[in-house]
Amino acid sequence: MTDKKLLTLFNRRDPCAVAKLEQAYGKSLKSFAYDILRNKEDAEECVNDTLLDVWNHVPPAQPENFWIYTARLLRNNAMDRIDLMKTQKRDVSYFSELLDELDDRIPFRETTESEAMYQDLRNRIEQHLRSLPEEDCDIFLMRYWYAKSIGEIASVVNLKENTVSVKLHRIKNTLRDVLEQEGYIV
Amino acid sequence: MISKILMRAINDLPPDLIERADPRRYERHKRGTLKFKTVAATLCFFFLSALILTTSFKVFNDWDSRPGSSHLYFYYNGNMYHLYKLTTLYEGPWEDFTYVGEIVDNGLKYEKIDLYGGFSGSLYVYNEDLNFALVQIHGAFNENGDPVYTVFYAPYDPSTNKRPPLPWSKPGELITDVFDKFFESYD
Repeated sequence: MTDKKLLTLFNRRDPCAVAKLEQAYGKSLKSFAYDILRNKEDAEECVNDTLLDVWNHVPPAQPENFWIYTARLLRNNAMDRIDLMKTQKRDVSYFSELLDELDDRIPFRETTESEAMYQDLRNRIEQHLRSLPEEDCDIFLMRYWYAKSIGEIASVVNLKENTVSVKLHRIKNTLRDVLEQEGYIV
Repeated sequence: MISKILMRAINDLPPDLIERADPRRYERHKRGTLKFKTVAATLCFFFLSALILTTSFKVFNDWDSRPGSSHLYFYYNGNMYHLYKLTTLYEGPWEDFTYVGEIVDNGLKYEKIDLYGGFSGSLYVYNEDLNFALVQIHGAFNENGDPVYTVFYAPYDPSTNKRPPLPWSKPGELITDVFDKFFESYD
């Protein structure tokens, strides 16, 4: 089913909409949730929460790309779930390590700045990623957006694990330099 | 711990970047590449098969009209067969021709084969069970002086000892089935 048809079903508040969405992207969403949470049950619950979120947000939201829209919601839900898992003293080591390695290179300054400043930050990161070779940008996002392991990325892009690690290290260094110049990094 | 605002900024990157980095896209691309490679390999296989099949029917006829020195070499399925050696120079009309050569032992069983032929540098082999003349080779030369051989096959009745009636197979026609049948009959 196309995204356009899905959107029509959601706008009509058709009860089939969620089932159709799950049919179209359920498998990918589960896989994505598992990549972040590394737990099957949590991943399934996270997907269900996300599907419900889509039902609650569309309309008024009118996503053109349902995969990206749903994956974003799922990512946010997964982050919230990780916070919950942490309070429950459950193992979240995979995602923590992933964030730690980013934090290690980019010690970001916690701020309470306005939405405008947030947009500026987002634009800087986007500009920097777009200035990178396409493969480097993809590797960065596979790691920090799709939460893929180094091994998985290496397999997908057909490079050695060590090469992927080195590339990520360099990308983070250059991103740090950019954000440092802008005063986002302490 | 990394700031949530940085995570949010990464989370909110534009869809085109996110979609491009989607590992599933890479998998599809990889599968596409694989599919392309498979198709290319298949095409290559067919091309090579065609090449091999073409050369399978290659006939080497070392013909110089002297008894004992004219030979037919037949290349089939990667094997070279020395099918025929001229032992008697044939000079009369074709209809009077009875036997001009002998089949050289090359691992095939020949008891079912009779050998006829011998006009214009041509000959053919008759298979009794299948009741057709297997090969007819007309020696010719191209503009470079290289020998060019055309392979025919045709139904043939050796009892009449006559040239097979027309139509024969077309010059250069691939007659794989016929050759396969022919060789299978010796299994």
